[in-house]
Amino acid sequence: MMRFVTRRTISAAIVVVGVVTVIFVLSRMIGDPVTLMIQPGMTQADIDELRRFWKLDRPIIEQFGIFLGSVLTGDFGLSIWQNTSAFGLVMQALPATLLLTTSALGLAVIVALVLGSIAALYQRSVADRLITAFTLIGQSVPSFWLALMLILIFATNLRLFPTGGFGSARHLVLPAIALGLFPLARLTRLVRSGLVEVLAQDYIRTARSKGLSQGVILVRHCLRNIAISLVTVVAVDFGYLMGGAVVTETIFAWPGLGRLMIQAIEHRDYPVMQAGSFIVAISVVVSSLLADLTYAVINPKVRYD
Amino acid sequence: MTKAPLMAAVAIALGGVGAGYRLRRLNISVILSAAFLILLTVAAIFAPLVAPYNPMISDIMSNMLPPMSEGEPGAARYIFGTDVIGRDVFSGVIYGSRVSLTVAVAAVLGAGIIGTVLGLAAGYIRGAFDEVVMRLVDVQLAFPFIVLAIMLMYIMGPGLWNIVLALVIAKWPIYARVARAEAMSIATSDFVMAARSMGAGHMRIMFRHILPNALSPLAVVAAFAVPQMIVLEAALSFLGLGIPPEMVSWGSMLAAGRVALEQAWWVATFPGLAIMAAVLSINILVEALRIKLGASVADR
Repeated sequence: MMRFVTRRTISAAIVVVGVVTVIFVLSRMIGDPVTLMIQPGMTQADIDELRRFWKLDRPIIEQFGIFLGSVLTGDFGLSIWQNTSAFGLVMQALPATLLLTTSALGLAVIVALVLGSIAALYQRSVADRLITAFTLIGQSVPSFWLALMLILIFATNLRLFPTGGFGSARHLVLPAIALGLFPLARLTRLVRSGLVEVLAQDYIRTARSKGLSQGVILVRHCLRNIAISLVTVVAVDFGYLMGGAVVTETIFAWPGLGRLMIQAIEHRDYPVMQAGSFIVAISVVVSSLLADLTYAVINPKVRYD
Repeated sequence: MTKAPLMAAVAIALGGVGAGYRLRRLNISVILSAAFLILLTVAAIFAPLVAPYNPMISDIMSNMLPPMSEGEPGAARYIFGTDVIGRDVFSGVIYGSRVSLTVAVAAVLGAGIIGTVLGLAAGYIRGAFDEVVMRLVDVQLAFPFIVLAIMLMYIMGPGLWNIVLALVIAKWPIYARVARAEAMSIATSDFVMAARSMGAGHMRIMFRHILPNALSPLAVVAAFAVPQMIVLEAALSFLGLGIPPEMVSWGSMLAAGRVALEQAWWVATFPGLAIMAAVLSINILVEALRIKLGASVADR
């Protein structure tokens, strides 16, 4: 077990180094940030000074070395656009994004468990068909269009929720639904197909013949078995949501990481872009690492020796 | 004012219920999906003949006309209305299908070919090459797609083939993973041994013996990827990073509609419905195909 944890952690660390390299290469390809900082009346000497100040005059390998070193200390330099710590800006925006993604994912998991259970317990019923139809449609709606339609119906017309912004729980409802519908639909399908499989097992028949109630069988025998496989899927979905949040946040003016990164790209603010994509990639790597470890711990069938 | 999108939603919901009802037989929903896709493809190919207006030409005198408005005397109706600067939304939806279908098919083919070749080679050769490819896959998958694509699009600038390239770069790993797994299991089978003992070269074994046997799971992955690509292209164009302004795409139409959401709901509604209908039909067809193939391939 220890060996599995170590091996898995080391490979996650290798991925992180790869991620840092990709971010460095990509952000240098985006363009020379100094050209954006030039103000009217600057002389060539001023420009060279700027270049020296941002260490952009050094050889590219040395720049990469500096970058790698600073990443390890969480120092991505100053934001070119806002002139404060890039890492600080990202960390300020992160809680809003985490709030949005965890709400969307929480909503998806809870509703999927309920709908998936209903569909599996009453196979081929009207409810099952409606739920299946819902999962098909839910997986076909682009989240950004859903966001616009939610705003149109529930914000501008019915005036139940604000069109965007941040602050109260009411601000969270529409973005969470827009972001959560796709994983919700997918998870519902997985819960349903997982349950259908489990319900056909011998031990369920045994549990039934013991006279256990439907509810006890569902929670104690079925859902616990499915929970194991759901852990991995939910971790993957978390990564998907961190990406999907970019568009959702932009539409709802949600002050999170995604919106910050779009703004950073518009301003060619590469320190913020680097810090932002670093944090996003790290959260994806960490969540999949945690999922694998959890999976190894809670699944008695898995033995890593 | 909310009636039309609600009614459209109800119509789609009913269609979906029909789909849910009969997903396991060859049925109405599969036939409807196929018909819709054929219609869409034909409309995309013959867009200049089918579309009543040029979707790029604005007519400020007839801007923000609601759906089914009368055009100028002798001209066609504005079935889906007009946008803020008086462009016909219906014609835009027809022309937009060109971009969506081209990008989706090209990106799936590109990513599929690159990923398959790398994955096959990794699973067959193993060793250091395998290690390098799989690490690349891991790194790539650590970036949520949209973040990576946004950076790539920003570097390359808007453009149809740039979108395709960004999607290929971002999406090859999934094929590499599937192809590698298949190659690893097929490489140990008896017929590969037999081929090798008869003196077949590595290339021949990889492409003549392993590849054909790995094709059906790869085909299912590729088919499921087509609707994803449609949505991702629309997302990039929606953010203004995809299609250049002189072209019309469903995503850029949504962006235009977003600005006038309150005054003209139809501008954002119809392109979105088009995306959804295309994605839903492909999903229904692929689901039917998957059941038919009996391929045990995961959802993504």
